[in-house]
Amino acid sequence: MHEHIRKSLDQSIPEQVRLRDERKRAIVAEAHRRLEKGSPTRKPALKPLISAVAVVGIAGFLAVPYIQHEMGEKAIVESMPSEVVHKVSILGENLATLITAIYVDKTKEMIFTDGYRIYAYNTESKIKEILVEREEDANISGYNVAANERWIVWKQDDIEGYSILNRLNGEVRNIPDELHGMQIDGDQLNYTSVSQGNIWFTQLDLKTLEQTQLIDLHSQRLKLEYTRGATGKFIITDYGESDSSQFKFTVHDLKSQRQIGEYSFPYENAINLSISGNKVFAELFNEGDTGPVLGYVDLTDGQFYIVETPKFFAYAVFEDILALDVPVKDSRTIKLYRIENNQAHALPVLDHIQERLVKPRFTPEGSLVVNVEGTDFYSLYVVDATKLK
Amino acid sequence: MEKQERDRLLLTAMNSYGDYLMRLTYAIVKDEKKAEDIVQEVFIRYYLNLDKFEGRSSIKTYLYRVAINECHNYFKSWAYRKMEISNLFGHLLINKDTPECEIIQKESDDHVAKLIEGLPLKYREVIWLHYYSELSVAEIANVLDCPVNTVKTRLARGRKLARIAFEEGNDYA
Repeated sequence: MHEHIRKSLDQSIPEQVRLRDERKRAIVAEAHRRLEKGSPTRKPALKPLISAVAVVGIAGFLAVPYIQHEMGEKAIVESMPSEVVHKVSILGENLATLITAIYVDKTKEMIFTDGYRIYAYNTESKIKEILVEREEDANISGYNVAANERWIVWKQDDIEGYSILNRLNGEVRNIPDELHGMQIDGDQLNYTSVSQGNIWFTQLDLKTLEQTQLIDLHSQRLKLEYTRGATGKFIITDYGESDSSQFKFTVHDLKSQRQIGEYSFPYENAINLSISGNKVFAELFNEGDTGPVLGYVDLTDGQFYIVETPKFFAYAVFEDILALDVPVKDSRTIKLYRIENNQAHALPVLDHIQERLVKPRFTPEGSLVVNVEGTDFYSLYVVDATKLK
Repeated sequence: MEKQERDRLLLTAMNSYGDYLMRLTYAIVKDEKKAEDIVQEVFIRYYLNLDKFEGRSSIKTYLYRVAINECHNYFKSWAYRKMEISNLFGHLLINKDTPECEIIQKESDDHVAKLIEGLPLKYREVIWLHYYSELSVAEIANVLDCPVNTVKTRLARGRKLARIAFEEGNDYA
């Protein structure tokens, strides 16, 4: 759906509205002119030099406790097994291509698309393999790719239907349906499909291509939330209800296709719902709140709990390991925490990384993937959260 | 920083974000020439401030922030107000929409984009930044210099007003 809206917005703008090459040249020329015009002339002066020496001296003195603290943290990081945090650099790629990269734990591959092809980059052998070439001139968006060690499913812009690659035998099949929000769980593909004016939560057996329409989301004014991984459960919320102090949702079992129960968050808004184990997490806020809180409903007793966290902008969770996008000085980055007694306790696993990290997501097997934004924009970090136990 | 390196970074930024910024800016100001001027100003400011960038700060967020601020400044400017007044007189003088035109227009326009286009600016800009520019909620808050919850509320209301019934769930973090 995200891709559909993006495309729709793009199509609403005349095709010729682009930054043309002649304008780029004009920008460079004007930038040169302004840089030269604005360069201040420098005169050597003694006062600033003395001030600088004094500032450096005081800073050095004040920095001693900080350095001691940092050295302590470094010792903690070094004591961790080196295989916990793994940097993956794919030269020639960029953040736009890698922001939707999918990590496959079993094969240690990063699957991504540059719009023209779908690649598998083996993080151990560092070999990049082309899995899929686009057909005609239609692009492939990273949002329209789902992958695991056995299957690649993708949809091309402006081409009806979607395609399935069986990675074991190289067979490609084309399915004529329109689909959104694909997610592969073993040999099952889960997605929302539009059929005869209704929106269905649909399941496809990738081996037999047998399709099951599970729930009519449209007529019941329901919204399917991502389950983020092979949890065997999915969440549905009622988007028709508004102005309520309770955010209601239901949890269903994928195998039996039965509703497990009805639950609620005691907040007006809940976003980014995710299931981890037997808990449904969400970012929660009421209108006018200064920031979201992280909370969860424990499906075993139906009770709601708040996790005490520092201020955060986004989260991802795997069992008791929590990744938060937190403010750092005048920027933000991803830090790791362990949830104990509903409190987030900092883990120094990512603290040694200088680059800004963005978009935390866990694989079903428990690997955290984050992108690097900054000079190493062709890199990602993979953290094995199962080794943090 | 060496001039050559500066030029390289500017060209990289223009190649990566130039078209996106042009189309986003056009969506807001609805004037191609003005959009070009705004985008030019954005990249020149980036070029002049390159020394202040470190690995950790986000170039993308910076570029969008300057672009949005320039759009807001344009709406406040006398040039824009003067154009609004002349457009108002233009509408009073010519009623161009015949019933046939309206039907053709309705058929050719994309439904979702049309609904979004009709939203007030504060909802329209968050939807464009989120869905088109693919910025996270926090990045939009940074771009618009407002609390994250304001962005979330505007996004939720904008979606409702534009009847975006279901979507991918996770606002890109």
